[in-house]
Amino acid sequence: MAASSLADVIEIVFEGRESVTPVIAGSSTLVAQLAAGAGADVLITANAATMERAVSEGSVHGEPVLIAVNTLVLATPADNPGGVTGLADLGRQGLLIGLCASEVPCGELARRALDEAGIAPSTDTLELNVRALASKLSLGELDAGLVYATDARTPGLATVDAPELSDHFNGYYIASVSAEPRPEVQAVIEDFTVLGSVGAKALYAYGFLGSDRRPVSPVPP
Amino acid sequence: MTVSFDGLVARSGWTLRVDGLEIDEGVTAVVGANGTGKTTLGRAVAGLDRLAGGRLVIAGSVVDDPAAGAFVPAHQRRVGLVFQDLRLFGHLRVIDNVAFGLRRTGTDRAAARQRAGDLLERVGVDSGVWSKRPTALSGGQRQRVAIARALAPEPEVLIVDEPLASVDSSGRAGLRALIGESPARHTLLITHDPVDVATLASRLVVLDNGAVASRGSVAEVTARPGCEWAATFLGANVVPGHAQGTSVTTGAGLVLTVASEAEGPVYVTFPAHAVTLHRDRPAGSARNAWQAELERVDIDGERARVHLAGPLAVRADITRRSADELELRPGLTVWASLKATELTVVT
Amino acid sequence: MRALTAARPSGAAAEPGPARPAGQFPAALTVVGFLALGLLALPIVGLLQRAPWSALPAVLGESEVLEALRVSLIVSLVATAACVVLGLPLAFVLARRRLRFGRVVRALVMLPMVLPPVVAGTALLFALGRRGLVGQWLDSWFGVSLPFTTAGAVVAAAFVALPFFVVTVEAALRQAGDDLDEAAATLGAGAWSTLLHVTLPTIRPALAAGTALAWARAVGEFGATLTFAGNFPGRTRTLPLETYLALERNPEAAVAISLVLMAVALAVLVTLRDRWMPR
Repeated sequence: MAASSLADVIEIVFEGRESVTPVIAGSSTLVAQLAAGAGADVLITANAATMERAVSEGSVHGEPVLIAVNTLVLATPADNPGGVTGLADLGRQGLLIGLCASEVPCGELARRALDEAGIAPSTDTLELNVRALASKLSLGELDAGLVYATDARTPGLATVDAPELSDHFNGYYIASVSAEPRPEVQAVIEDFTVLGSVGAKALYAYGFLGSDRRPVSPVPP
Repeated sequence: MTVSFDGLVARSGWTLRVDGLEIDEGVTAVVGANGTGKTTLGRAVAGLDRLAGGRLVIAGSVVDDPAAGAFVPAHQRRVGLVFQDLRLFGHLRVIDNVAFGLRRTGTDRAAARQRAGDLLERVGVDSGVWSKRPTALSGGQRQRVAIARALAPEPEVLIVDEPLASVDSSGRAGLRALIGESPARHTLLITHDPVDVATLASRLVVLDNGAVASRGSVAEVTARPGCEWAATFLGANVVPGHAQGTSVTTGAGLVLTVASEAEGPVYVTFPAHAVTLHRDRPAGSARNAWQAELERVDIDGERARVHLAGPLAVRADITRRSADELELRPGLTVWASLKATELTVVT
Repeated sequence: MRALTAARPSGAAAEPGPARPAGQFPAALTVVGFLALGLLALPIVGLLQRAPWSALPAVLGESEVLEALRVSLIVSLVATAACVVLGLPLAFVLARRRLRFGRVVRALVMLPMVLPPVVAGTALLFALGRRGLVGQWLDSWFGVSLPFTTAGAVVAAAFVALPFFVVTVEAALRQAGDDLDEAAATLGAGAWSTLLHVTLPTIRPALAAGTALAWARAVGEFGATLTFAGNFPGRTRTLPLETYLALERNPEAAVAISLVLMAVALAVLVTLRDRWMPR
């Protein structure tokens, strides 16, 4: 399962580059798969912990590079049927609240953010996939939830200001499986990190923040 | 008390038309070629097929009248049906098959089993197999179970569809006796076996091509069979006798030589056209020839049906021309002969 | 009066059939057949050889696992009961009624079998969700909202499991025909009586098989449950969901839970076969 918010960007970058095989790990499962020899060229992870684990397991040998950052936002259906006004509403009984499961990065992030804010959410579902959570919010089946800023762009979603969330973000990392990547593999990695490249433009277009937690700039300064 | 049937049953492709048929008490045989509607007639009486028009009355109550919107469903009709393919319940023991109808009409289990046992004894099913499944029984025994099952709820009308079709010869005589003893007020015997007609039926209904071709007492219908098939069928001679190897001794002591071996009580059947008549003792093979008194000659177009009296009461079909040449008239003594290969021995 | 007991047929009991030479089909079939068996068995063997046998009691004693087991049992059993209650009439309609668009209806019934479960779950959201076609009325009239509830998980499981029951029972009803029903009618049995005392007992093996298949499908249900009912411990988190999450936390635990799932399923299927299906 791909780290879903990154999926579209990856698709754009990898278009026409069939010679390079990526493994996109939203979680530890695919790291284990990579360790078992999936024959991939690059690993892309949706958080630092997963990349760290891959490095410690010896699944990747290249230097991990932070390619983008994603923050959590408080999202509601466009018409905000629950009348959500802030993060504290996630603890309100009677609202249908969805979060990511703590086993996946967005859930881990959400759990930390809520712990720090001292909010005990009245959760109704722990989604395994942030895209699924965003879909259920946009369909109006849930009243509020925490999704990535990139997923908040899903049509039918609205966001509510939640300053408590700004300190919580996820980094996306890329690393070459081999210590000496082939030129094509190196080109892919650069495409995510060099300003003005296809990858950078795509990251910007989808609303990621750069490694400095500011919007990715589409063009070199 | 009668069953009165005046209507039509529509099935895909053809219809059975029955006009003013009255079925009296006793055993009525329904005969006809395959596909003429015998089974459909039985199903309509039982309530398994609906009339498309007309009226069906059983013992004074209208059970089917589409114009009046009247229809009594099968389970409320008190018509028992022994299906040609039996349709015993595979999931029930033999005794519970027979008890089934009683249980459905409110008899408690013990009483129903008691009565079912009595019936099974009467139809000659050994108590050793009562708690087996029907599939463990022979064809003849299954047929007996099916008859007992149909009789258990004491139907007014019992319909038996080709009862001997699936039974080997050793069981036939006993089964025939069973049907003859049916306690139902009306028994409708669907058959194309001349022996059934000769031994069981007092009345006959002939179906031909989806309509009643003839009906009445056996004698009446034999005189006016109504269709070619029935003429041949009813022309068939049925002679009881006692077999010993290829010889069958008939009631009056005449010994017929037959082609197949058998032992014990049998029926010898042969079509009317198999009987040859002569003025003088036939030359050559002297077997199966006897002197008979000519009783009557019925002329029907080009065919002459000759009725012979003792020692064998048989019918002979000959051409009208032969009849003229032989100068046949009642009271005349003629020689009759039969080829052994024309004779069928039925046990 | 003639005696009713006349000649008694001989050889009443069914004789055992003659011994037949085995293998009257091409030998190649045997070879491929065993290959197929291997295809089915190999992943199971893979799971078994990775099983953390010594850690098994500890893993299975975890409260999350026990809770998921409880949810799974409730959801699968209620869903199976729903499949029987709703599926039996549907099977009768399909087998015994002449439907104008019979083929289309039958294909519709089988659709959940081929639909990716996630799609099935999404479809259920569109139909029965809070803003769904019917769900909006359930919500506004009765205050009933199915998503994210145990009832929702039951609906999802029943939706994907129902065709297995219906298809099995319909085939049996068709095969049985209505010959025995007619016989029952001539013996005085009305429609309900015939159903209870003849039709259902006759198709009992198929009822058992259909129930077992539906239950097995309900127990293993993952995608539709997740999509429609979500995932919350003690409410909608069934064993398959727990297994998936465990795979993220601790793959060994996932293997252990899968083993339990398999053992329970195997036990139920084998028991059903022995008790209900005549061989």
